[in-house]
Amino acid sequence: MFRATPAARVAFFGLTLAGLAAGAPSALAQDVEVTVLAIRATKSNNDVSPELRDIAAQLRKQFQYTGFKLEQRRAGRTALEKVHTATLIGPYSAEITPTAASERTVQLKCQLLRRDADGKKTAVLRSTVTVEKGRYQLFGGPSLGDGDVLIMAVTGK
Amino acid sequence: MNARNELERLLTLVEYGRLDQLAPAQIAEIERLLNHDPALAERLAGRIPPLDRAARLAPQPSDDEWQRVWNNIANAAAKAPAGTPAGARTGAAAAVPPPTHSLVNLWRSAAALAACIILVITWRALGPSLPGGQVRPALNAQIDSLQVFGDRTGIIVSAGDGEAFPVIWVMDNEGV
Repeated sequence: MFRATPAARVAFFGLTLAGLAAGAPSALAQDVEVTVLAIRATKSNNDVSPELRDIAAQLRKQFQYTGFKLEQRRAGRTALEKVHTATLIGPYSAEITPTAASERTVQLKCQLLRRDADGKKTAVLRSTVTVEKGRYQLFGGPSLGDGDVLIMAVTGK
Repeated sequence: MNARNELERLLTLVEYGRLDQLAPAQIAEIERLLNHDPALAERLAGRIPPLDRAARLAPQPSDDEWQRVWNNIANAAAKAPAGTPAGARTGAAAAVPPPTHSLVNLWRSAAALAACIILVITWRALGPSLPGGQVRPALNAQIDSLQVFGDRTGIIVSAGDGEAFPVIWVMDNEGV
């Protein structure tokens, strides 16, 4: 009788995880994949991350910032009404809760938090948005110091 | 001591199993004589080999004792860990590789492959790059609610030229 060795258990776990992450049909099919981007907007340079080239051109026309750098990307799969927590840049973090999902859209309850000097987190904003799956809702403005600001982009699918 | 007496002494030593007192050359000489002297060979043919004679002098295990020994071996084998090679359980020589050796190697390879897959998935999940390409804003986003806390003001700005998209902007008056 074959008994699973530790190596076999690791392999089974890894292959199972890989199968789930690859989108194989599973019990997680009803979950929502939440992605949170942390973008640093600055006036001190004109550098733009490749992924932000299109959207930066439009943001430059509306805001005074010239550089847009993608500094964090936090993605995770979570169930409806379950919080997905993401650490952003500076003192900021986000809690994203998918509250509804249809074939084309997903509703997300988004909360941006700021950690104070004593380590306590306080809410900066709280908003519920409904977006087309894969499209990002932008939240901007919180200061990162030196004139830079944080832009948080959130989507689900 | 003549040759005949010397041969007789050597044969007596053989008959009594005192082979340790014979030099290799003497053993070779006795062997040569036995091969060429049928009468001498006939004399020793009826002798019991020393080892066999010693074995006959020792008490032989009974059938019950043999059965008990085999039962002990079987019980010990049953209690040994499943991964223990059969040779190790029975005390046999370990020249034969364990039968599970290749299977363990196969699973080690699979584990290494799984670790690589996990590493790639983690890198894709945590890395800042977006494999899908450009970040696309939500054009028809519906803002169901908005609350801004502290000494801040929240506004909704419409950005974009042809295809406008809303940006929720927080005017932070607290500083960092």
